[in-house]
Amino acid sequence: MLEKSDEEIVCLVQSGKTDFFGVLIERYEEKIKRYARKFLSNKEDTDDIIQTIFIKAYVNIQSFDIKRKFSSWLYRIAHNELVNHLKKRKFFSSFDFDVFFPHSVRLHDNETEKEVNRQEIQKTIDKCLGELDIRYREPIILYYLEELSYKEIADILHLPISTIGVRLSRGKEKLKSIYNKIYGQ
Amino acid sequence: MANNFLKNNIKEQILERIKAKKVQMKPKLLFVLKAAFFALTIVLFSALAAFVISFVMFKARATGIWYAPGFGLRGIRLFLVNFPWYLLIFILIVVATLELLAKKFSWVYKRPLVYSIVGILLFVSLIGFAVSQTAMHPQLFKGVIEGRMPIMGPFYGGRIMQAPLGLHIGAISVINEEGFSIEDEKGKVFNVIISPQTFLPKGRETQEGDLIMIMGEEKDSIISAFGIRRIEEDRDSFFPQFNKHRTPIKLPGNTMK
Repeated sequence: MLEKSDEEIVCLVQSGKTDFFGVLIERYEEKIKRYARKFLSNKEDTDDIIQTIFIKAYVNIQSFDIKRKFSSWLYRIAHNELVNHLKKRKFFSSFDFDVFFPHSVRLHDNETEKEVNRQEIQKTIDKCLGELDIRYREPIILYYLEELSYKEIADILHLPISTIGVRLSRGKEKLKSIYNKIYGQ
Repeated sequence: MANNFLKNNIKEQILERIKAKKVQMKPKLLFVLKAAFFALTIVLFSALAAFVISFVMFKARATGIWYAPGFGLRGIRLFLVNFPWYLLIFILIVVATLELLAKKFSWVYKRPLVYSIVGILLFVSLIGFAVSQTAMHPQLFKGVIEGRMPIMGPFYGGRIMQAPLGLHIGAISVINEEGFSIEDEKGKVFNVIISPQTFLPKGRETQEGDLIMIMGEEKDSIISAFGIRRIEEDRDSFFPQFNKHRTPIKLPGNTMK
């Protein structure tokens, strides 16, 4: 089963072999849990939401187009679920001018720079992420912690690719200033 | 260990609920129908926006305000004051709804909002313009005037297609040395006074029977013309109510009878 892709397993579940859904849970439970924990402090809330996310994925699995990436589709469900949860707690504002206008952002293409950046950012993230605005926190988690591409993040958040670039770049700056404030550097 | 237990716990719990049929996947047909309904909604909203755009273009002509900017600043002011802005706001609301609907598609959400809004506006405007070039609105308007389409009355009947204050539309009934007289759609006659400052129609000489639009104040059935524009070429499309007053043209064949 290990050699089968996510999309092939989804195809099996769609055809009625529902036990294979367990493989997908195994593959994504930790990732989704890690993603959700960055937004939720309560452990019970996190477990309930993880269950809801996988159940929603199962209920709607016939709507999944196997030509697309399953991970992006699942993260999208998780994103929606978390946004709804945070909206109930009034932590989320939906309008953003970053989405309105086009931006010119250089995408990372230099592997060394990307790696150094990633390591540097990961250290900062763990310490300061909780202080960061949700609109910047989410792309930073998906890019630096979940190691997803700009395109995948755009698919999950339903945002323009250029906006992802802007949010990552602003988020990094904000994280640095939060870090400096906390650690007095 | 504990982590593994919890991990299996969530997986087993979900699989148990699936086996017990407490959780069931929705059938594919439901999503196909949803997608079809979604596509239909987008088509209907686009058609609505295009229809209202073409209606605004038709209404601007049928009420005469379309021709007013040709009379300078005073004409532009009259156009702006009488433009159906409420319909423009309605169009913008429909476009915003279309944008929200279209955001479901990756080729829309992956691009900045300004591109998709401008794209949708251009798309519905082009269709609206194409519709305005067809005989649809003239036919509907004619149908309402002739009483064949009472259902469209709220859109084309009553005061909706009438010229606003300061504009007068009518057919020339008499031409004399001081000016001329016009007859409006109800058959009421107005005397039109021309001054040296009046904007006069360009091109061929105006004749009796020509349909014209006059901008100017009216008092006791006398209009002091600020500007005059011949709209004879638009009579059939935008002013069918004046067709009944038109003197029948005698063709050579008819004179034989």
